[in-house]
Amino acid sequence: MAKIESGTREEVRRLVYEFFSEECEVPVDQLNDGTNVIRDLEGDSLMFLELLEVFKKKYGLNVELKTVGKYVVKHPAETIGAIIAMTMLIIEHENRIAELD
Amino acid sequence: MSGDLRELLSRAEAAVDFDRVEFERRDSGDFEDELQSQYAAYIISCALSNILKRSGIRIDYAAGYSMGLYAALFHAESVAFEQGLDLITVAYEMIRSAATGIDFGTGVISGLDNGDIRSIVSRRKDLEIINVNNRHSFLIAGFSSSVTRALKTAKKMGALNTKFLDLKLPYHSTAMRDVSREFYGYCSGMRIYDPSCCIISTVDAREITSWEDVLGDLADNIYRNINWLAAMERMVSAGVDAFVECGPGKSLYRISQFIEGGFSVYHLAMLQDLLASDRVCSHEDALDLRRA
Repeated sequence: MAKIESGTREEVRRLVYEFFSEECEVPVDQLNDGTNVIRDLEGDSLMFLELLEVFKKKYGLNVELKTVGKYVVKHPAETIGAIIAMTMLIIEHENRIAELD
Repeated sequence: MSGDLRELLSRAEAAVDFDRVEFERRDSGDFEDELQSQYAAYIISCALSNILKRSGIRIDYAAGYSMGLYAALFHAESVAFEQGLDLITVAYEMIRSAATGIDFGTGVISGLDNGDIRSIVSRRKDLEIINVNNRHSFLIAGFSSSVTRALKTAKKMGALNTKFLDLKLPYHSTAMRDVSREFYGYCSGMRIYDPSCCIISTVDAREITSWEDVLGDLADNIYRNINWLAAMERMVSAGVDAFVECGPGKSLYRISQFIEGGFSVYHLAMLQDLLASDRVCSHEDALDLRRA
């Protein structure tokens, strides 16, 4: 389990915003927590995989994609806000995310 | 729009039934019609190829993702621009004719590994992995009903995403073996040159260096499954450390994020960065080298 420090949430938020801004070629100030990545930004699944890879490397996370996939089926995350929240859960719980309701 | 693209659009209009008005309206090459999409991607890729060559970027290897093979052959000067359009048209017509009445489907699965995907496709005889994009992304194909079922299974197994694609023709499917023979016969009547740079086959990652090899790969590309990951790994292991994605969008750039190796991929929007970087020898640099 990665240690959540005081600045982690803000760092995750910044990285997620920067990621989607760059990937979707949309200025950061045009994004908000309610932006739907699929519908509003025409994003796709590979983007989420890429983002996950970024965080796996950054925080040295031990999490299997399949575990995240099973969690996503139950808790779809399509908006930037929901993706940030889910990323925080993944950082906090790693593979144990599957045990969450 | 660059002069290269304008010129090639005009030539394509003259050579085949290409919908230039729709192309310019969409501005992305993303047509709903499969054949028009292939034309668009090919034209954009060839225009980029011309820009690269004029900018002095020397390519050691070329590889074409799926129907991108024709653009790779154009870049390698193995076929002329109009010949590439002709090959796209003929392959499309042959496959369409052979697949008439077959409810064929293609799907993409992201987030599972190779073993998982193999176990899913092994459940139905008509299913196959038609492309391995990278270690987390796969294209599967078969009858529509089988693909739909496989995607549901993948989701249950923990795939981060599954999607039924709007691709109705069975390119790269073993069901097209007979079409491949017919296509080989057609291509045998064409003037095909030895490639000016090595082409890596996406079928089996072999090096293609002669016109005979090209002919074989053209036929293989119709009915054999492709493995983009293996082709990329082959080039990376040969020492390639910079790739340029010659095509609309940045799909290959993104696929490459999950391929191991110390390399960079430059997509269309990054082309200016590449041209301005020290990886590209400018005219002045070349003169300096000559003087030295």
